[in-house]
Amino acid sequence: MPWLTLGPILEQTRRKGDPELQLLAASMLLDVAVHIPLEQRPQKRDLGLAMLTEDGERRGTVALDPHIWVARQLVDAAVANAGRPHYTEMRPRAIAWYRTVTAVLASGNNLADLEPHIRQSLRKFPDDAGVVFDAGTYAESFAAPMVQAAMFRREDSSRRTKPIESLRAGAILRQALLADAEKHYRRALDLDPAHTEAVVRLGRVLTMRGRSDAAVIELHRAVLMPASSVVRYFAFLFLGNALERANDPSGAAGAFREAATLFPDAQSPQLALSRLAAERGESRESHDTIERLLSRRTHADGSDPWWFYHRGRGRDVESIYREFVMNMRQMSVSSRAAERQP
Amino acid sequence: MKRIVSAAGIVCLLTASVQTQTSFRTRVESVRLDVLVTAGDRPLLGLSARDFEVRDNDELQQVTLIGAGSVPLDVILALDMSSSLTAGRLTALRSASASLVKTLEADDRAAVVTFNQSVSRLQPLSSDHRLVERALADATPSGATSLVDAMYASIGIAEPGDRRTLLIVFSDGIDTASWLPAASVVRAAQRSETVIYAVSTAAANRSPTLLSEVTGPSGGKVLEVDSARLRSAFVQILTEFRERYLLSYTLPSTASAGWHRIDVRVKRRGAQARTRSGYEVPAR
Repeated sequence: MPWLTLGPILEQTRRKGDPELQLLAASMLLDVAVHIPLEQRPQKRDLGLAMLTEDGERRGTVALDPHIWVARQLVDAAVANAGRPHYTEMRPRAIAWYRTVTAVLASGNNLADLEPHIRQSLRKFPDDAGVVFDAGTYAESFAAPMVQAAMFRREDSSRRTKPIESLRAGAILRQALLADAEKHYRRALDLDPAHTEAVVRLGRVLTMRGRSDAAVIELHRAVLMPASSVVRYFAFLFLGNALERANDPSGAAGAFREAATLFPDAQSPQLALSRLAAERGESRESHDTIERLLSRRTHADGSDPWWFYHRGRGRDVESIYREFVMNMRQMSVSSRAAERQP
Repeated sequence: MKRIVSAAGIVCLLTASVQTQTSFRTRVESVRLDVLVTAGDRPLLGLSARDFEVRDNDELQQVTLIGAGSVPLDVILALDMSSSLTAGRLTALRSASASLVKTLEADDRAAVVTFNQSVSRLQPLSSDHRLVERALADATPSGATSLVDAMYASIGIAEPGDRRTLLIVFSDGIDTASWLPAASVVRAAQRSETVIYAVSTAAANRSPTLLSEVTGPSGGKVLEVDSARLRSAFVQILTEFRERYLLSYTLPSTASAGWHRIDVRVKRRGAQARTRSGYEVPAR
């Protein structure tokens, strides 16, 4: 059992290793975690089990990932003491590790391993805008239908996982999660007012919480901020929704058209435009919009960024992971060079 | 797409012809109703226009009975191809769809829409029924479920004209990825003349409530079946659709804009009528 072999070494690294070694070991464990299939994870009893679901349906249970758990302890040890000589150097690297893990877990919709990870990252770095933003996306994702559908059902097929059976409980939890997301996005913006995606997500959460007027203000601000095309798409899509709820259908149509211009093959803004036309009594326009949408034979998996919204930064996991690995390699090389110097 | 969630912490009309339909007019001039009449669990056949009492916003209407059997059908299949569809259900679904198209008349047309998070029209409305079977041959389940988006788009592709449209929605799960809110598809169903049936392979009484909220106002219903009964359910829906009565009445030019509630009663003991709950007259 490799875990039995690795465990004591890792424990020793945690206790005695230098911060760089601890970070490198944690990075190696992340790599291991990424490549081990869910079903083959070694089980660490005290970590417990999580519900495995597929498209809102329960598919069994799975062990929580011990690699990430141990790796967190190593990273925390590397930045345990703000007074240590290498703390200033180690802190941004530790944050990068935490945020990379968050992106990896979110990309696979692995909210079970993400939950303790987010909790610990907030404890360690409560004043980092990125970490706080990630906590917001986690709460928002947990409130999404895909998760709520699996948690709150009328039947229960497992003795281990006891869902709250009342749908009302689901609604209460959903609202609590959205409130939590709002709190985190506001805090992230206090720390970094230029964080466009935090403004966009705050706008969506405000709409979901019934405060569309406040959402419109945030989202109007967001569409003027610098952002990637995906984030701009979200901004216009959510602005359209907020304006519609704020009884401004023509403003909403304008925002949906902007979103459609950014991603011409995306389904969501076209459906929204068809619906607005139907509400205006323009059935022909509504029908023609659907016709145009469906006349494309099939829709590629990536044609609508909305489908990946709940993955947060996980939608960019490949580039995030690549950059992280490159930085770690660089750190390793410079460490060896320093050792060689007399 | 796999996801893990923590368990521990949380836990018409036609006065004379059937050339136009309500849904594509700026002004509603006539109203067409697809009415299913049953006595007990069986369809009640052989009724005439005099057997019906139709009220539009509580006002009794003079109705015409159009021979429903003479009006060609458009049948739209909207099929859930998300990852929750098991191999066994997919086989049963292909077989059920093939059986359904085999019972179509030569003038009838069929279309296939499939959905996961994305909505795709594999086959536009066509009277070449073999194309439907071919379209489904390559469909493979994957991804999340945009049930609301798919139902909205499927209602939207019904074409204006003199045909009767039946939408059959198959889903084994619940919405996990739609952009549109559930209320949009309920509104679309209310505005449409399309009769919507849903077939769910969820356990009895456990199909999503959304399905009944959409099928009910259209005059359709939800059938909860297991995979083994999928084929008979599809054929049963089409048979039942053919046994419906097609009624129409002319709307006075003074009819108020907004929602018009429709009540249909059958002057036969024990008879129950099912039709759409109403329609909307756009503001002029």
